Amino acid sequence: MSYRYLEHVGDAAIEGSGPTIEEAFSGAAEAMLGIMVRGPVEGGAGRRAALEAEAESAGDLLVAFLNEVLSRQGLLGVLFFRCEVKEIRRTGEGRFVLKAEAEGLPPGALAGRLGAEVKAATYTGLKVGRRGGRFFARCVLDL
Amino acid sequence: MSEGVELLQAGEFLWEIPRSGEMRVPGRIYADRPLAEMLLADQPKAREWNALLQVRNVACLPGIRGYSLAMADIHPGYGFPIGGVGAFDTDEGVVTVAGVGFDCNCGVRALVAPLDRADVEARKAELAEALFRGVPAGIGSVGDFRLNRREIDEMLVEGAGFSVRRGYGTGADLEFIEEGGCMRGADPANVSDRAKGRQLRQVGTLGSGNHYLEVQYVDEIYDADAAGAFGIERGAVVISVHTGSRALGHQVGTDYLPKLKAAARKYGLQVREQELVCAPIGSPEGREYISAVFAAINCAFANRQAVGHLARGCFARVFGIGPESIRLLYDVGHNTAKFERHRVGGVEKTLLVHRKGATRAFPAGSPGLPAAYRAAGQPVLVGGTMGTCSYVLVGTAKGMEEAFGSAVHGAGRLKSRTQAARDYRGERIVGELRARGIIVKSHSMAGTAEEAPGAYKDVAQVVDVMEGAGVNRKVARLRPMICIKG
Repeated sequence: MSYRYLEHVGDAAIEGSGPTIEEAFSGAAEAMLGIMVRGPVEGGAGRRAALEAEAESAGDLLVAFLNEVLSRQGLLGVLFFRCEVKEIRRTGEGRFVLKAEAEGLPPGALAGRLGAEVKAATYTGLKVGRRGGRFFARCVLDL
Repeated sequence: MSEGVELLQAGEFLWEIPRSGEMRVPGRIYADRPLAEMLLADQPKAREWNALLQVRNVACLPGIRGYSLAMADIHPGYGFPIGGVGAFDTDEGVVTVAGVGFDCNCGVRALVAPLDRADVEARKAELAEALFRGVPAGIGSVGDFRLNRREIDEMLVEGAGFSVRRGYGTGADLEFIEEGGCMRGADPANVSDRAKGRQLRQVGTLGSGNHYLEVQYVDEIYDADAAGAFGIERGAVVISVHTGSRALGHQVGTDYLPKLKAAARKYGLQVREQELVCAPIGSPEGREYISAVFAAINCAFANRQAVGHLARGCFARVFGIGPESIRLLYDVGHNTAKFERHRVGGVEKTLLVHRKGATRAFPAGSPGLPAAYRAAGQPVLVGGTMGTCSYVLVGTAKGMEEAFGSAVHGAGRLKSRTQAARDYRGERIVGELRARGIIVKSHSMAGTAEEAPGAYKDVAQVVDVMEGAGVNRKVARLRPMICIKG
């Protein structure tokens, strides 16, 4: 799993990639979380949360998933510093569903590592696909 | 979607994207030649989300009237460009999340303290510390203004008046807020429980990123009559607050994005970019979203009312003055959709005006302005950067005719945050500004680097373009003394 930031003057464009679609989505989530919490945080001691998302296409699923990450951390009063997508599958009705696990700490426990708040994931620049045998997932975030 | 957009010069400070293809109206951008050349140069670098393409895409939306406009602080956003203005016919037009943004009614509030620059300079460090401790800021920060869900509903209906009722400010403040601090037509029932749940402790918080609280002084007056009406003179101390509807607003946008996507499909609305998904203004989906936006607008009014009052408290403690002696100059949003009366083709109509990173700028004589400002026009509060300056502008009659009574909202970004993080270090920015007499206190040094003055265009150039175009007029320039960043 890896991620990169693409040039976007106003907000932030992120792209996760990996050998599976789950890893590409995990990379996109890590890219988003990296805007809010800078540098690595040792896992294990934080609050864990199981996340789910559902949408009619893989692209819509990416936006729904990233926005679920933002909503849940807000409701829990934490900042997630890790998020791993466990499973993405299609239902019998053709919808895409996702299960993930995230870990976070209260902002006060992350002093010195705080970045900028991501307000939402948007449909701008939204693409989920395969390139050179790897999956990628990208979109523009509102900062 | 990646083809270049043609841009023709239509005046010294006005450029036009001629109507072609699916465009229903031309695009118009306020810019001088260097700014226009910057926009053109950005096209091949950001083929999917450059600002000219976004102006063109907005021009293709159903029911848009006049022009797809962009102010001089234009830069790429999502769907709409930042600095974008789109006015839509209420019968044939649409409402779109992209024209409001996720930080609904993000805006600026400016207050005037009964002090002069020398008073603040004498106790600047003490005041900076008091503001840093007294105003919750930074990502994930929470305040002492705790609400339950019933109270959230009340806030979504009452706006700034709710905060006043809870002891944050006085009733006299309300006249000096756009819409009197309360959008009629807000319906809390159309705001999700999740949005309300995220806001329980977020009222009275500044946020992060480009949000700030600055203590400034007036260093130049350009329009003595308007400045006199606004009660500001050289050396006056101004407190400026830039924040919005916080998590509730973010969640409203998030909730309605898929709903409007479904609506666009239901009503057969074609959009050139998926983020521009929209619903007819008069449809059940459109009306529901608009009432939720109005609720989020009220949330932002309530938030800025609370933050402004917290700042007043800090000044009162440091200087021993009464909080009520700090007068609200004005409060105006720059991420909104609102029904307004405008003339198009010689006919006055009600339009739904989306302003995404653009400020309402109604001229002298407009209804709804405070009585004391009616002859001068509505103050427009333009935030610059922590190292340069900010401006108070006023709208003009020409701006009302040409630009739906709109103005710039800031300098506009020049560099991406990624580029700024490569080019600057937060600690160094803080040190350099301190050497120039500006105290910056920030919860995030990474964020400070990304908000470095060099990451933004020259706000003076941007404002001069708008004045040169006759759309806005300069009233006063403000220089920072203290900047609190999230």
